[in-house]
Amino acid sequence: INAEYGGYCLVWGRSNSKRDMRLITHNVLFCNLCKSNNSFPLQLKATKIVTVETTFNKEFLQHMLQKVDWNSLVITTKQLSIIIPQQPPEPEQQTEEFLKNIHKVLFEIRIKEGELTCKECKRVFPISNGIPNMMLKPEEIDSEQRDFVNV
Amino acid sequence: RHPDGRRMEFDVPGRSLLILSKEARYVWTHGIMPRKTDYIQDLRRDRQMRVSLTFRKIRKGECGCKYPFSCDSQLVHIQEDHDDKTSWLEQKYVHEVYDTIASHFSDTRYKPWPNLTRFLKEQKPGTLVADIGCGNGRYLGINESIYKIGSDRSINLLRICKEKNYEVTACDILQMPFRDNAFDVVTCIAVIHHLSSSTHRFKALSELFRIVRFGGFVMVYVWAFEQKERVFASQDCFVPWHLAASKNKKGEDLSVAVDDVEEGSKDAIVHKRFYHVFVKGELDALVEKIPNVKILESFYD
Repeated sequence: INAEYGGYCLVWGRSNSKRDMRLITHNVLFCNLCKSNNSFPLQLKATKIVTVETTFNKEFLQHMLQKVDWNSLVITTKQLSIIIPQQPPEPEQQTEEFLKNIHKVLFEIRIKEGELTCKECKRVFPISNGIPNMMLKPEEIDSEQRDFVNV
Repeated sequence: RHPDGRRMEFDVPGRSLLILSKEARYVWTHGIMPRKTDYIQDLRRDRQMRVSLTFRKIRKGECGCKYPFSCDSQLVHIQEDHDDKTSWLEQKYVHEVYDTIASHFSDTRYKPWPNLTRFLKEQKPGTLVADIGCGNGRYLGINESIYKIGSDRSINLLRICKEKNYEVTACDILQMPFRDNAFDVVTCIAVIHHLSSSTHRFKALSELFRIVRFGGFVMVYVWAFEQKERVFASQDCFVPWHLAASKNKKGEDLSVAVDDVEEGSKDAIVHKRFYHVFVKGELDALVEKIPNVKILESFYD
């Protein structure tokens, strides 16, 4: 992958960095505030990205590929100026090169600092030290589940 | 009537003595139904004159009963300040405590339970697993061929997970940021017993099942009321965490987690954690209310 990032991103080379978020995680997140189907994928703005080499396991990756929401991955990688095919090739046609690229996208590209934004309700969730913080403020919590007890 | 909604009716025969103790006395509330007839085993009985004498001992000073959640003395500050007692209890006696004891808690929670280890190791390569309430990441390192994402409310515990290079998110189990049907497997170990109302406990279970795919599995562990080595006075209780503070010669603070430090020891800081321990069948009953879910196994471990 020819990875070029936006002007405000910093890239290190290989790193033993630990505090970072992988794109596979981003692929399962949506906005727990508005819970809209349109909130997925969350818009990703990364201010610190690194790449960490990890072991490539073909069987593992092919299984993971079945779980990934591909459209969401296309949109997100585009936000990071990375190009992946619009549709994934059938398993029989997945070349080593394709798999290794996807391995890099899902597991090796790491977001250390950044923001996730819901395009529906515009709520911004920070990513710091590689941990996306999806905690809601008390006033944002569903009122139906608040338990008011008259003691 | 029990706070969880259960009601029981008793026929108290004439010239009888009814003694209420423990849960019956402290947790259940009592009253006489305001009506003129009763049906005892389908036979109608009209009420006649009733004389009842109630005897009670009056306590002097603060109450130290084992039922703080029913106790006017012990809960009085909650009544005054907080409408949302459930969330307040969870905030003060779960979230803040875990953030405070995080590193010490982590030091004592390193050994995974065998049933869980086996369950995780049995999963096929490429299985996507969520561990909700992952704590220090005890279950996030098992089985390299499956992909695990952990979540917890405590940022301090999550940082510990990050040190070990685990993938984690900060969120609350009651409203999770994971999309529907995202995971093959969801585990939730020793979490739901920290939720202080059945509404919250049910909501948490619903969320766990929302994020697992159709055909996927959810594994939940909670503390049982019935235990061999510990007797709980009631299902809602506080379980202490003892932090023995000591200083070395330089006067630096060395806090060490000591579970068996003597109560009353000068140096121990006691953090109370809220637990609602589950009676047999209680967890099953909650899960049975969730549509499209089948209980595969239910056991005491």
